[in-house]
Amino acid sequence: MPPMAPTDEALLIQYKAGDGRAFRTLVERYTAPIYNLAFRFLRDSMEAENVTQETFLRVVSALERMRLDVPFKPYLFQVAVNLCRDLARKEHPVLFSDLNSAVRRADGAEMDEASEAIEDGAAPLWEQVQEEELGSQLSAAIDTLPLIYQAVITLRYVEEFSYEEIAQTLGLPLNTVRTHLRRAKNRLRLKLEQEPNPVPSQGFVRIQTAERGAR
Amino acid sequence: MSDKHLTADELDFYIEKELDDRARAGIERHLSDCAPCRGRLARDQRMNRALQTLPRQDPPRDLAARIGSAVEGARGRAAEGVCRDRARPGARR
Repeated sequence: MPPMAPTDEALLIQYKAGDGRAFRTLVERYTAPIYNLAFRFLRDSMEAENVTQETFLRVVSALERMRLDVPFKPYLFQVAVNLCRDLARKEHPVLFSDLNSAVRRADGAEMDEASEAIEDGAAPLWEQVQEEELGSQLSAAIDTLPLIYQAVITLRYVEEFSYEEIAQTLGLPLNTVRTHLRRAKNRLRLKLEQEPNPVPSQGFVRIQTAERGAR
Repeated sequence: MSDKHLTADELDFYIEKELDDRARAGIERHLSDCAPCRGRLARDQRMNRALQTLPRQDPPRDLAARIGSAVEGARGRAAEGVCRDRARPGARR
């Protein structure tokens, strides 16, 4: 039987005891997930690389004063999310507000697009497509969601975070995470029913580049 | 069986295993008698499965190695800084 991989926390203890390779193992473990998350937010490979590198540099410089009883994974992702948020704020302040807040109507009430209707007719088109096609339709539909919903969906289903880990990462109450997830999925279902091939919203960086080009 | 169909939230709680045993049993009783809700459950489970297998955006192959080197470089510079501080006249020993 292969030996069990050391936990993140065990690697941190080794690193703090002077074993530089231990942090390299953490970098190898989390580079792809952090990059994937950053790319989802920024839609730009170079920016995603920069955020991924900066995340590890910030974390390693904070390690001296970091408590070792704090779960490492949510902390690491929190740093990455904050870097994406800072970049978004700089690049496109209007869209940035999306990442912080739930989706609200003009009257202040949160939108809830829960589809409670029971369909008696034929199954919607998306229910009949092949798995692979459904995956790409879903991916395009996620791109059109508000960023906070993209974040909870990515953390939950791609990175397999628990609700508690998502709450720690995004600095949200646990119940808010649950609500966001349910609403995000309701929206996805509606989008797939209404529009099998949604047009993705533009990433922050791409919008800025387009604006620059227009000047 | 209850006359009312399950709500979208009830189905989601069921799929995400967020219910206690009693509530879960109640949902299962309803499902055993209600074909439309079973259909909605199957649809939602399919979406959950699709979400779990979403395509990932892979980083360049050498990114982890580059970041590892950058981290070690930063660590080395920080250590040199400490040494310089210690060597500086007037610095506490």
